Amino acid sequence: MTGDSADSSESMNGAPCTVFQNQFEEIQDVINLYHSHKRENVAVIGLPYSGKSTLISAVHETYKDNTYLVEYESQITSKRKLLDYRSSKPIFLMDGCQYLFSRHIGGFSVLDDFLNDVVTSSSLFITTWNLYAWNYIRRIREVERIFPRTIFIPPLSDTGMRQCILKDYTDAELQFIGGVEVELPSFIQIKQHEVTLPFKKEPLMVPFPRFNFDRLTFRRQKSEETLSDEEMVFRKITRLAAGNPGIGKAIWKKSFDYPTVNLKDYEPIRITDPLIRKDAFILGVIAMSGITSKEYLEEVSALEYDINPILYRLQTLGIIMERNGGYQICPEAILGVHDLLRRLRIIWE
Amino acid sequence: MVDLTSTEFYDEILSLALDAVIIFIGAYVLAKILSFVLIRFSNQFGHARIAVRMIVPIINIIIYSTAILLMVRQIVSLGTIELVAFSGLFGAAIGFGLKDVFANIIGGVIIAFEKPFRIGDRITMGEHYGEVAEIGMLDTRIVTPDDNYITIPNYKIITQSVASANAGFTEMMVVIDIYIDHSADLDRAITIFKEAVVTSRHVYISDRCFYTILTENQLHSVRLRARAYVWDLRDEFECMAEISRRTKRAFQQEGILPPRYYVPGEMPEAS
Repeated sequence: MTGDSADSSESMNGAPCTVFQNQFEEIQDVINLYHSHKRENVAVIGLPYSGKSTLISAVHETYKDNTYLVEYESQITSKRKLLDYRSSKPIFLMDGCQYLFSRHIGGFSVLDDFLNDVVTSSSLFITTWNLYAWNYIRRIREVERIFPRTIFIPPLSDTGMRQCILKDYTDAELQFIGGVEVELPSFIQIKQHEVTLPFKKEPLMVPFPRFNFDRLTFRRQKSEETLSDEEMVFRKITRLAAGNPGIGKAIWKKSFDYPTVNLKDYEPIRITDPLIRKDAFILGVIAMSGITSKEYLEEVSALEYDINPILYRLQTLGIIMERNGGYQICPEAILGVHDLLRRLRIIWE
Repeated sequence: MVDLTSTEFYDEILSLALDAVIIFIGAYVLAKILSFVLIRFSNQFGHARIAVRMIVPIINIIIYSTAILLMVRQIVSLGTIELVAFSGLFGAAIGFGLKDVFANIIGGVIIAFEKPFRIGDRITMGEHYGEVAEIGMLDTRIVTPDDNYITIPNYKIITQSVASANAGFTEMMVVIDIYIDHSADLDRAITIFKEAVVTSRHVYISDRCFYTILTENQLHSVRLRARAYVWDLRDEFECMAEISRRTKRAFQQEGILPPRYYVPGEMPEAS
């Protein structure tokens, strides 16, 4: 099994886990307690692209002799695949546990087997879960009783984001030598909004001003704190990404055109078009799973509706992307999707 | 006898009438615009839309009350004695002719402030069931599942019991019944039914919105009853239908039989 590319893209390949130091130390405490015969299974929970795999990889690197790492990347539908994690090592690190169930009738047997194994085993299980999947499964299986120690992945700080993005570059490759151009969006931007009038069938496009308050606070902070250009760039990216490393990297990739970083043209994906319930539901399933195959989505729809037009629509809106035969949420759309799914209560809390 | 010249008539009475008409039209237009804006705006709030819509009847009451006061002030300026006399006459008018109208207005005020139901709620009043579409000064309008628009006088809130299925929340409980044969695998049927509920795109589960599956042995069948919350009451019937359909398909795949008619002496043992 290979790693969840949605999250493992932030994996640091064995480097010390400095960006999630507190969470790493918490897991170390749990492992120390386990060695003194107190077992508390762990659920590491975070949004998509939040860096769960980074944390679990760091734990594996540190405790290589005692841990066995299993990474799931797609829905596990048979117990045979689940049993791959069996090992003589006392601690199991299981990344991507949201793949252990499928949201359709008959889709919970593997999870039930796994949970049964966890409660009957004397091993310690350190698992990672997508936040949406965790919230869903805890409502129907009470998993928090089996994984009493829950660790939530926090948003990264500016420094953490900088470290996460710049680890892909060598010192010689990238230098901030002053005069780095940080183009911010204007304070006032005019956006066209669709307005539907009761007596008119065709929607009107009405220009509305949109204020970018970030620009004001950003400028003030810059003058007060005398930040370097490099710090300014990463502060802005951190803010736009709400501290999510996956989103931060996507913003960086879109904005970085050697040797300048142009944040002016970056437009976060906003879902202005109201999605109908079944579109939003399928979006929720993709958000919950990570990388999702079309076959799985067809099973979820259970002959109730055709999945192709929904996937086409979500792709056209730039919300999801197809990669390696599976569908996943575009990193830049995560925050918009999160707001939308919460508002529609597709995701539970 | 009051002797009015035509100039005085135009100066006094006509201008008063014109003022009254302008005030009334102004109040009507303002109330309609605010209602329209609030109802359209409320859809942006998702599950909080019912709370936003509840402001509409209160605003209507305030606007119309202000308009009536303005109109009265335009026509008469009353001293204490005139006010007492006017009140007496007004009371008599209510008692004899306008009893029902005022009962409806009082009912409207009670609905607006006591909130036994809100705009957007699914209510049962008398023999009618439907979604509250509008709470007016005199009557409440509900839309039934068959898309009939029913107008119920507001005074009925005082004289009749009203059941609100969701009590101001967007989520509401739905009850879905499935019947299986006595010889069917009951445990498997319950598992399938439960999974059909929790995987439905319409169901919402939280600390307050839980779900249960109940069973009851009946003469010719075993009834499985699911109680769950649909995330938006507008999807009540679609939610019930979707869960029923998916459950039935899964039952067919698993060989769980629908009930059949048993003659006395043929009743099998329940699994």
